Amino acid sequence: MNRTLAFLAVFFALIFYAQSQNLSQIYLDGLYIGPFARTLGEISEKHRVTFSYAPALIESFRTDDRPFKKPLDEQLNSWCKRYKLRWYQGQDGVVYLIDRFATPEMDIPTATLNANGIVEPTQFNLTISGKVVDRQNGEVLPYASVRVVGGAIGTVTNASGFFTLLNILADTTTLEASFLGYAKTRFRLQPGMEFSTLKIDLKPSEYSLSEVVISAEKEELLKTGSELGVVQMTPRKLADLPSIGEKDIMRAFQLLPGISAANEGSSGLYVRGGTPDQNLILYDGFTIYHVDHLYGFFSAFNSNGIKDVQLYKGGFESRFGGRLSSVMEITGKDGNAKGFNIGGDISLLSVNAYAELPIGDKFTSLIAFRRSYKGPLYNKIFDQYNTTETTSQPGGGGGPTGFNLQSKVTSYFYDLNGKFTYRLNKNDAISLSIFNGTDKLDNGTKIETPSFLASQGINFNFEITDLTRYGNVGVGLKWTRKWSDRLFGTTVLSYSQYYSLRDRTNEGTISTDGSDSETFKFGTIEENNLLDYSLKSDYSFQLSSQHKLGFGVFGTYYDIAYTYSQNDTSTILDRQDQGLLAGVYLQDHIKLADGRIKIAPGVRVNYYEPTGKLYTEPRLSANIQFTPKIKLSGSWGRFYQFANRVTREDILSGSRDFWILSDGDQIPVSYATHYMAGLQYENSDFLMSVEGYYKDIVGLSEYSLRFNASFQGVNYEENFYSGIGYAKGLEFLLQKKSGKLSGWVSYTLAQTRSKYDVYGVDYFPANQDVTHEFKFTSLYKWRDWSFSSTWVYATGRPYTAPEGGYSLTLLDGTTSDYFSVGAKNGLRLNDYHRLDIAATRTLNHPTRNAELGSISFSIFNLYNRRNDWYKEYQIVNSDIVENSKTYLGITPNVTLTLKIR
Amino acid sequence: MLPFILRLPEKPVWPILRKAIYRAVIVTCCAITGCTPETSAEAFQDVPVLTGYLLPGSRASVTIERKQPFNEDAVLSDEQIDSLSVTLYVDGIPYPLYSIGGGVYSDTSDAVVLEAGQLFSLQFQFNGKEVTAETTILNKPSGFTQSVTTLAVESFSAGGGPGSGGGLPNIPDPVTLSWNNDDRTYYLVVVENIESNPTLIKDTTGQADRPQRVFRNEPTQGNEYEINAMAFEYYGRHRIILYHLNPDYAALYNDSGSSSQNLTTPVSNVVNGLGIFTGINADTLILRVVKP
Repeated sequence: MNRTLAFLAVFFALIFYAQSQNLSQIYLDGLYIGPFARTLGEISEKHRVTFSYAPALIESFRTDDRPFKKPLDEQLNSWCKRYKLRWYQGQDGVVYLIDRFATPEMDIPTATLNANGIVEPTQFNLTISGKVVDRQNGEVLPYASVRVVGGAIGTVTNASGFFTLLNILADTTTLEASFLGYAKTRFRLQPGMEFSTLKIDLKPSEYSLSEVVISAEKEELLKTGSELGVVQMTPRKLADLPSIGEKDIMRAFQLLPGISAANEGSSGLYVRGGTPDQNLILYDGFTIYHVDHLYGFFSAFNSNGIKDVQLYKGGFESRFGGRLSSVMEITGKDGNAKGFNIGGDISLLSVNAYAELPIGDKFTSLIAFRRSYKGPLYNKIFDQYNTTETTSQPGGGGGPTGFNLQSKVTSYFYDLNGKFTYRLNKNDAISLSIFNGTDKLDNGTKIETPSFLASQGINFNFEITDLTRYGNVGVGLKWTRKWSDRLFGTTVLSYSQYYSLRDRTNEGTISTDGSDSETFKFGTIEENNLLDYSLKSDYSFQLSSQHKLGFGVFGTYYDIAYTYSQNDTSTILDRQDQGLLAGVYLQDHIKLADGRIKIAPGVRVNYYEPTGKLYTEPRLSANIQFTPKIKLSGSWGRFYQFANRVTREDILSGSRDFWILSDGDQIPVSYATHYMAGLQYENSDFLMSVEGYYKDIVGLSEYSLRFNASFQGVNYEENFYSGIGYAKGLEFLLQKKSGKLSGWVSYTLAQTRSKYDVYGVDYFPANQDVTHEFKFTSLYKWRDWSFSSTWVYATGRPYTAPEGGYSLTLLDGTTSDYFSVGAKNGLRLNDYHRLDIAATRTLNHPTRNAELGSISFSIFNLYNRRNDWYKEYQIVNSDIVENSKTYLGITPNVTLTLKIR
Repeated sequence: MLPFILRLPEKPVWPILRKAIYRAVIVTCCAITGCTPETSAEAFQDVPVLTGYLLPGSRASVTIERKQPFNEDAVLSDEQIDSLSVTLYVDGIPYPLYSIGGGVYSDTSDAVVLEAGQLFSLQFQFNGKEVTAETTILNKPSGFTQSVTTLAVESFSAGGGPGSGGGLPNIPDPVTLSWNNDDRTYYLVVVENIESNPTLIKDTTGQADRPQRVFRNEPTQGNEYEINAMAFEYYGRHRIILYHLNPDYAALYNDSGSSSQNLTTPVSNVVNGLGIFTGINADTLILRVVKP
């Protein structure tokens, strides 16, 4: 009985196979006292009736009934009335218990089961292939698990949602498919089916909070696909998590171990001691270089346009390359295939709308657009960054009129995601994906001649420019082809551009009557422009059920420009670099010991034209399933990076980054070696994991103007410095996956060190080094409400500060003053901690008994902690004045989400 | 047709493998957690600041001071600035320098005779670290000449002309200094009035401070220098010193970081310290500035 109960408490609804029965002819007799789940289990055993439900739905109910020859349907009615539930019997005979507001639907496709019983097999040792799709909107589901029930054979769908299984025993085999956020579904093969074009429909799970939003890739029963340090997320449930103002996939990932959460000012991911530029972001196959909106407070990814995200925290396969740390693979939504749909969100920060339009059964499209508006939340974040205030100055000389100050602040951000897919035939599809994220942040001020001076013939105007514009535009054309049941190929032709302009200049003209006007300009201008033209082809070839081979070719032409100038005339740095990166890769997947051991060796070979050299990256990962619950994983590999975002150290006003192409000389090609291992225990309710990593990094680059090469004319090109580094850490995760209350606790102990000769002989903490990071996320479901909270604690990040000064007496007897900067990153900001809470209510359609949307209330930084962002310094009369910049204080937000379908 | 297809082993070597891997995991976890303890935010770097110029014919002497922290709460080390044990090595031979107070350490026994071509090394312990600096004395400048030995400059006042008349004074040609510098090493010209009570050239009545007797230049890698006659403030004898410098000294004239846009780290040849320890050599000429 206990085993039965344990089995009942599986993550999703569970299903026993059963023949259809007339419930009115099943009579209950006896005592049914105890937990409702146990009662159902007893009935199931005694009368061979199958029940399906979400464990969280009924876990708090107890039965105390003594039916006497009472028909089961009547008893179910009675229980449902008492517990505010609803039941129905599917065509497969399964009795479904759902929330009373939920829509009753069949949970198994009608084609899958013969309701009359067992069917004799007619074919053996089959090869089958097909796709897994969302039943509601027809979207294909990438990285969904498909396995044979009770067998060792299983696989994961590729990024296009396709799967192939070899050596299927017979044409009556039952498959089980699962995907994060969807109910696990069984699919029975039947003689006569088209086995090369199977379609398994998955239904979005009805009880969002009986499952967690994010789940480490796990296979309690499956035997495939599991990889070390891989995290999958579906944006469907993002709204349940608290946020600053937007549902944000990047912020959600930051709640996991090994990914730093203490960087409100950057949406990019700091994965295992890596920096955001060391994390490859692929959006439908093309690279995105910049993800920040509004100074990085949230990311440019609109979750309404995203279907799935995979994050590889390290040791990734050879099909990915060009980054030292990690990979984030984002799959955009194809758009609803079953009908027109529009929807959107409005929050205190932005308006977000999307439309999905299918044409015929071959074309789908989706366009999602989001734009900020200058509401209270936008202004709050904007003001947090801009301390420059445009206050009116009193007029001089007793004049009646003050200076005419005109603020021309025009700031906004927007992003656009689009995807257009055309299925040429059952084997070919072409899709065009578009991504555009743009920010313009203008805090300029204009001062014009006050009237009392104008009357004296003096005219001037003075313009303070404080403009930041940046964005990323990307377009990818993708062709997917299923060459055969065993060979699948994807080719992507893409273009991606990142641009950034920071103009902080002061410009003015002054003229008096009868004299020439004089123009002056000073300040800094920093411009970065990156162009990426890429073509790549990826193939996977299923050699046998235990052996899959991936291979591909790739090529990227980079064109990266960076200019940094001061005072209009002196250009400090002006680099224009172009280069071709091309190569091939091979990736093997081998299963041994009934699939309990999986080994994935791979190699990636790059040719980098600027250096004219070949760079070879061997990779190896393996995992071993000791028991169905315990798994050990490990990976090792070499990773090269050719386009880097280099830190420009600026102690006075905060360091900045810019993208630049390695030249093998001043900016070396950087590389990392990863060593990673992990141990995981998972049962139906809990997941516990420990992962450790060590990364050795060579060829880091930093730019600093702190050290002048020569006092007679500085050669600023010489101010690039290179160094080495390492990162190591341990990550712990304890996750409660099911029940009304779910969530996870994570702790990361980490150390990231760098060493640059210019900063001294010792290793120093890297900018992103965080020693301890503790994160707590909880989610609670109550009727139509879901409540959530997150708490983050992290050691303060290191920083460098001027710490003292001294004077020297020169040979002529005069003295000269010098400032001394403290040890590189020798100080730490205060520890970071923050609590966020949110409550979301699902809105149901008043007449259609369908979900209409949701309304979400959230409070960011509930106890108003003033967390440090960075320090600014000013030199005033030979003294240093420190100014601490802090992150956002308490910030409430409301988001309303609506959709028609 | 295919490169190879793996066959499943008949009997997996499961139990042995499992045990071996468990052990490997434990060893790996221990290795990773054996991180060196994290030092918290580092305290103020209490390092000494040296000023030491070694000039032939002078007594060997250096001044040691502390860097001044911006933060008043900064914790300094226990080092006493006048209780250090300072050693000067001259071509490898150690000579102690003795404290004479105020951070000055001097060869009070006059055991060291400073000469060009010697290699000097200074060494002492400060705050647990060995502070060292090395230098040498370059050759005495050669071929140091001046275009004139006497310069006639009219006096003038800000309100009027020279003498009792009006208009601008007649400005004599600049004084040209030259020396040999085939290897483009660094030189510095320092001009100093050496009269005990010199007379001003310009009438500065009403100004609070008298002008400096010394005017400051920057190092040059050339072999010529012109002194504009208008640069002189006083009548009388002027000592014109031509210093032959190591590049370490020249680097002190880098942008010292007083810009609001950059904070540059001053160059120093002192290891585990700041400041300058350098050998210099010099030649001197005398120029008289007189009334016409």
